[in-house]
Amino acid sequence: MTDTQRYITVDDVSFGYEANQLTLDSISLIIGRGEFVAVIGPSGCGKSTLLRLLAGLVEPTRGKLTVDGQPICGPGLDRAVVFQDYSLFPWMTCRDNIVLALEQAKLGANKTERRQIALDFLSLVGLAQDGDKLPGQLSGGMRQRTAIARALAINAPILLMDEPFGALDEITRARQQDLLLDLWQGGQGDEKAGKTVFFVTHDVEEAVILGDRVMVMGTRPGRLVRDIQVTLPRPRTRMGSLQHPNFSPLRDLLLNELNLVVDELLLPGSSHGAHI
Amino acid sequence: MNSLDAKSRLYGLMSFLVIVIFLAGVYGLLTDVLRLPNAVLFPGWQKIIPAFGLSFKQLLEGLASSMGLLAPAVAASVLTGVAAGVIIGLRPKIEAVLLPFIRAMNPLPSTMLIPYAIAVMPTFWFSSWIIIYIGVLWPVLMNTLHGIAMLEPRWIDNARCLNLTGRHLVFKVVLPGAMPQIFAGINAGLIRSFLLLTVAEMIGSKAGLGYFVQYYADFAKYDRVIVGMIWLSFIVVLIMTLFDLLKKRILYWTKKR
Amino acid sequence: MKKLAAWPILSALVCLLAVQAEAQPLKLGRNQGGTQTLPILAINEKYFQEQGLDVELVMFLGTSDGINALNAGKIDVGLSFGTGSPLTFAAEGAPIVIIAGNLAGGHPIITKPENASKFKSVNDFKGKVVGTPRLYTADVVFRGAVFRAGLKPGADFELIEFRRTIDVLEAVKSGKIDVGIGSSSITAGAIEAGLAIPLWSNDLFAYHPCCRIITTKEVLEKRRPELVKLIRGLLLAEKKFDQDPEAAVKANEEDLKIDENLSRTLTLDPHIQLAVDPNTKGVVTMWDYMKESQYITSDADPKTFIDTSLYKEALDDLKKQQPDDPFWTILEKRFQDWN
Repeated sequence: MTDTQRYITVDDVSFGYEANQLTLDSISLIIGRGEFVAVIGPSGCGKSTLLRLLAGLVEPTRGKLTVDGQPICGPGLDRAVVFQDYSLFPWMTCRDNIVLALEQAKLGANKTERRQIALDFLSLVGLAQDGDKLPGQLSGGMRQRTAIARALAINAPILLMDEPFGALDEITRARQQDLLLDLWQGGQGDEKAGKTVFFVTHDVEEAVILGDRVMVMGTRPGRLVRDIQVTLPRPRTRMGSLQHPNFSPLRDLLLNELNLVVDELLLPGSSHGAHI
Repeated sequence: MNSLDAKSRLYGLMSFLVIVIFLAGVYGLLTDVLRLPNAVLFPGWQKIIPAFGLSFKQLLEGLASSMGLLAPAVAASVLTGVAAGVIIGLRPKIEAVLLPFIRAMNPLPSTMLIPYAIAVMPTFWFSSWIIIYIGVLWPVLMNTLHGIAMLEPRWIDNARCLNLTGRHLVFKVVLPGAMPQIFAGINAGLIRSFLLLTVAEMIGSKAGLGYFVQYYADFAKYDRVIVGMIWLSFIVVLIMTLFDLLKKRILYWTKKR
Repeated sequence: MKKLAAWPILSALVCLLAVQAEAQPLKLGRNQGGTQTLPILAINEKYFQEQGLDVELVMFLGTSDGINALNAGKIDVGLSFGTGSPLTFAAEGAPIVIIAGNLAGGHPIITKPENASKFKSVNDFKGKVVGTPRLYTADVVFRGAVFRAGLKPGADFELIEFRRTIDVLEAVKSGKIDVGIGSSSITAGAIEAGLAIPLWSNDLFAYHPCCRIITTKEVLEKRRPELVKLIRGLLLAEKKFDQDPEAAVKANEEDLKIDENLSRTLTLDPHIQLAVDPNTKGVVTMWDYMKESQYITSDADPKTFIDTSLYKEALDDLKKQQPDDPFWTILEKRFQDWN
């Protein structure tokens, strides 16, 4: 494998807050540069924990994580994180939130320039008029768009997204998915702008619409169950993907996998239940 | 929208005044008209109102003197309380060690501190000052620690992801995030400072809001005591209203969530 | 017919209520800190019991609290609320009556030992920083004395007011004031701290009245016989103290929960004079002092707040019972001199 293909590696990683109870057990995973990986699984499977490990917010109990050959030690501005909510500081305007991130990333020569960059990225997500508003004055969808604008503004090669649309209503979520597809696909092909995305969701359709690959995780302890390539053509749109003949079989396959995972939970004496 | 706000505010003020006038009327009926027995402790308005006129200059002097004591003491408490709160609060191990000491500080009766304050501080004014300082420090420090402990964990994650550290972390995230709780602490501290004024002004004072009430109580001039208490309440309400305005300004981001 | 039948029942009820009232103990208010040798000795020697009087002691933290309780009818008699406070309350129209005395003199004026030689008379306060506990007996005595010596606070010396004598003590110890007007309750503490007592309040006003026995007009009207019994008991205690002071040392030791030596120092302090005499002349002088220091603005006659008839009656009773005892003759003479 080339370096490009082994951009992010997770090598036999286990994680547990208590020694005898693992949240994640022996996860191994390789993500190539520019890949969009969606992770799906029932709640409690540790998918968010995996994201926090990649972000460097927590350290593994066992195993190793690397980015571009370097081990991950602590958070870094090379990995922009978008959380479900609370990504923005509520006491700063949307623009100031982005300006702060730019300051930290040492982008923009001075305050004026940073404010301009912030505005540019806000217009990119359709919020040109809302820079001076506080996050609390925006709808959930607008807040998440601001968070994405911030993640893009600092120009990190890796985007870690933890159920970013999970708290949004159906229609808003659909729009955000299209926006994300647009932004991400717009950067692909350009070696420098192309971003590697690790996207956690609990929504099967969302995973298929967005991802190049979908990882299915199981619970107790959290582990990888399946790694499925999404055979939908790029560039995609949400509608286009939904209408593509490959969509339904993929969705059914994933739902089936998830069902198996959930069934194991419900049926005592199942194979995995035995060694818990 | 704004005019409706003003209207309802006016309505609230009117209701408040009606209640005040009603209570004053009941008191007047019991004292001036029915002449309840203990006229020393419960003087009627006939005595209180002239006493207000006679005391007015002294009340203004008292206000100036008390504010000259309160403002530096409260300001020092807030500055050091918040600073110490941040320094300790961001270091959980140190906090665990210090917490028993901080908790033990609270129930110390301030009157018992007077002889110590006189012995340790360089002047009587500083002795009074430290009584208020210590009294206000506690709620500010405790609430700052609490505010930091209660910070939304995602804000901290977020700050870490942005590599915010040191001064930036404190001023951009920790302080603003803990600010609602810090303000609750200052609020409690302010109220406490007014209670402590009577104690602090026992030490070699010649004027002050607490001194005024205390002085005339010693001389059984309860008409002046009541004047002093009404004046003190008025000042407290005024200051707390101003404080609320300041709070709304600084905590602008909490209201529309 | 019915009305007639109701009368006996009603009068029986009234009698019952009266008996009920009579059965209530006389509630005596005292102040924390000071010594109350005579009342304590009287209780210890069961003098009140002998007189057929039931008493109950109630403790207060401050004199104004005690006097307010007396005014509100929560207690019947004040034992140790000083002279100044009762007079200010009376001046404000509270129905306070002084019926007897308790102690006289006995308040220390404290300073650091190196300054002790500087204070020999009232004129030596000139140019000094003086701390005083507002409205304490010694404070009134001091203010009256400096006024009569022609010294003005602020102009001739600096006067710093406190509300408690323990704070005056601390201010002297830390050197923030040159000299402090104290009270008998801090004498022991001042000596222990190595301070000097160059003057006593007695030196400024000999035998100045201190704690007076006070009551209200209402109690005086309703329970006069009991109040006379109270004074008789106190007079017996004064006699006991005269003949056997060690009994008082022991009584105070138990009451104040202190060791014997300290109790002896406090009880037998030569500057304190125990006297049940109401001392009208002394009280009137105190009133004048208070007017001179602008503590009181009332034009009332202070004699209207003093009723010596109960004391006279009690003394006469005892004299009748023990006609040969010279002690009562001495007290009779003192009564004539002081009132």
